[in-house]
Amino acid sequence: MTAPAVPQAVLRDTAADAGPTVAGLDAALAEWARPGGPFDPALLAAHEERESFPAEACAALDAWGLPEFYVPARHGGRQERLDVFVALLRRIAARDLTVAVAHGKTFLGGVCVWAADEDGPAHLLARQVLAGEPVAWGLTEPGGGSDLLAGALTATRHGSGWRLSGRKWPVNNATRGNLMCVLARTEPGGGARGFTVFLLDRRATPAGTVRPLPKMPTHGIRGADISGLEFDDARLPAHAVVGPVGGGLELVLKSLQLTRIVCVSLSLGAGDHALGLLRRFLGQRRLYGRGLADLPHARDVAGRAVARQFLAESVAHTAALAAHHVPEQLSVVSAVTKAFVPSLIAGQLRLVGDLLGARGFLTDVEGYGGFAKLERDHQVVPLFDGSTWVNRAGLAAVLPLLRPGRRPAPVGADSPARWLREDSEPDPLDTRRLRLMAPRDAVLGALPGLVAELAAEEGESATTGLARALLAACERLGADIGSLRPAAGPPSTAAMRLAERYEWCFAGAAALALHRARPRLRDGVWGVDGLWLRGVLALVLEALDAAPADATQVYGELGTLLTTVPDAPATLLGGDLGDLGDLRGDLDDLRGGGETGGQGAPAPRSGAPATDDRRSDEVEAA
Amino acid sequence: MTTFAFDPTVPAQLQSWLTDRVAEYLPDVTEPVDPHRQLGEYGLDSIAVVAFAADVEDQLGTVVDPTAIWDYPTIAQLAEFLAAELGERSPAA
Repeated sequence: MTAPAVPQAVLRDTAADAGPTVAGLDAALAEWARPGGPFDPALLAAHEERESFPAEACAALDAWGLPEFYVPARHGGRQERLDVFVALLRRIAARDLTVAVAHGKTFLGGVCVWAADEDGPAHLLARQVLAGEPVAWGLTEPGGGSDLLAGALTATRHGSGWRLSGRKWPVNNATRGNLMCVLARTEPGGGARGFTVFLLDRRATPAGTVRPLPKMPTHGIRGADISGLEFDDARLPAHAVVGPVGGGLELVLKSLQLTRIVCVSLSLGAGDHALGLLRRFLGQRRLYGRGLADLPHARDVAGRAVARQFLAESVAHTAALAAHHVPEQLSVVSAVTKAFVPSLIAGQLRLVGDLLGARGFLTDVEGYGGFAKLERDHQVVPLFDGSTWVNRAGLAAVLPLLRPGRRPAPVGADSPARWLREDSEPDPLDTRRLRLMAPRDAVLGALPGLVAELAAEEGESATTGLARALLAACERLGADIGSLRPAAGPPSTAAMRLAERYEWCFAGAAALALHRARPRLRDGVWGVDGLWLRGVLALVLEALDAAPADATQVYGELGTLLTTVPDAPATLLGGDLGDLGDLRGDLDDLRGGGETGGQGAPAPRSGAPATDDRRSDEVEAA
Repeated sequence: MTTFAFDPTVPAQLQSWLTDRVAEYLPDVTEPVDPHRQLGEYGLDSIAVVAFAADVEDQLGTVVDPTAIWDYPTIAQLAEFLAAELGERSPAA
């Protein structure tokens, strides 16, 4: 196998030991955020004010090498693990959500091509993306909402190629990008087999046949290029077809399973940003002659905000690894994740906004003006890639099959407690294993075993009590789902409410699985006495109408830690670079290979000082 | 493993069973479900098709992707396809 060409940007970029790793991106972002830099908050605020594209920040990310993470390793890029990509986009979102949306759309634009797994289009797209070309994803059309089958943009055969007519709107980056993956109707009657995906290069279409539609003014992400394209008999070559003719809907639905998980990295980043502002505010603000953090109410609200972040991380991380380990179940996992996490973080932003008070509302006051922008920007995340309602409705329709207790618990390799372990090497992402529906869910299915394991280890601790309460709430959910009848058509309100309860149960199970799988998460600032887990389980139980008696006390403890231990990042996994040890090893290999002229021989991995390197970077819960 | 009062490798028997299953999803449809009409005409939309496929998969104990219903959109076509699939899997049955 030939080693992929190493883009020069990677080899050149040695500032602050930066390279294409999460740690490197962190360092680079900190540098870029200085006055005059591409991520200078003043510059980004000015872009928002003018509704102009954050071009400097996107150019910096291009030069840093982010486009390589849009391309799977087998096609010459660095995209190997979904959790790594989620971590990268989260870092960018934590600085500026608009930039993350504006740049990250290339992940969406490319995913159909990688999922179709045909060498021709994949090689073509890989070359373009590695060269820094952004790619848009054109699914929606005017008047169609989230209904992909309503698409009216039509592709008809023309000689050996195709002709496209119609509109795609609204589409992120439609105007700025040359490339767009488009879902087009290829059977006049439409239907599930009546659509096909095309990869379109505007530069190769006859002049005047593809026109951009104007950028839409938006409430948030004001600088992003939210526009569209209009096609008027635009000719496409035969090789523009991605996947089988008629296979477009299936390809898009499977691709959405991946993008829905990636999308919640935007919420994680928004939560990071908000907690950073909150922490600073709690440390500075004085009220009634004492610090704001001394007020029990403030500590309680802050603790709830922190617990929401931990729970969002647990779900997102579990989902990202599920993509590798149980891709057959991703239809369920991704729907839960996309319905749940953005809603959870929207709630967190409301809590933080309440505490910030006027500072969260006024712009440009003492550095808190970023909050109003952040809150506006985040409002689009629940809409992306299928709204909360769309994802929840998809889940509601299959609830009878997912009913807790209906299936035996997953054992061995299928259990999340196994595949969430740090030493568990994820299989490469295999999109051929994605399915439109899997009537099982290994995460929630693992709950009884996880609770038993916890009780065996800890006895009847406070954490065990909460875990048992979660299990009981899950059993009630199972009983309530049991009375649900399958039905065609839109789900009933009752079914939607059950789906929401399912999401909370799933989230609790994911957190418990993570706690069982990662001994490090049972120690450190947030981990002692199971504090973080008690916090997230308290949230879950509150939502399931089973609020624990000591919830306020747990939130108070979390809120206190947020202000009294300012050096401990308010994250379970955001500071965790341990997973990236191998990636760093690969970088060393590539650098070595580059310096010796790139022989293509696999460089030994033993050169990476994995153990020490990992440990020194571990800030997870410590 | 589920045992059936019918032989799922016989298309006619499987068709009759599938017709009953589809009817469960259509509580508002009072007329008998016609196995030769497209399921979409009964309002079995894309989300319901996913649930229906998973349900059938679960009960038959064989993989039934929703795309099978896209490719065989009437009960009669689906029964023929699934009966052949099941027949291949259990030639001794």
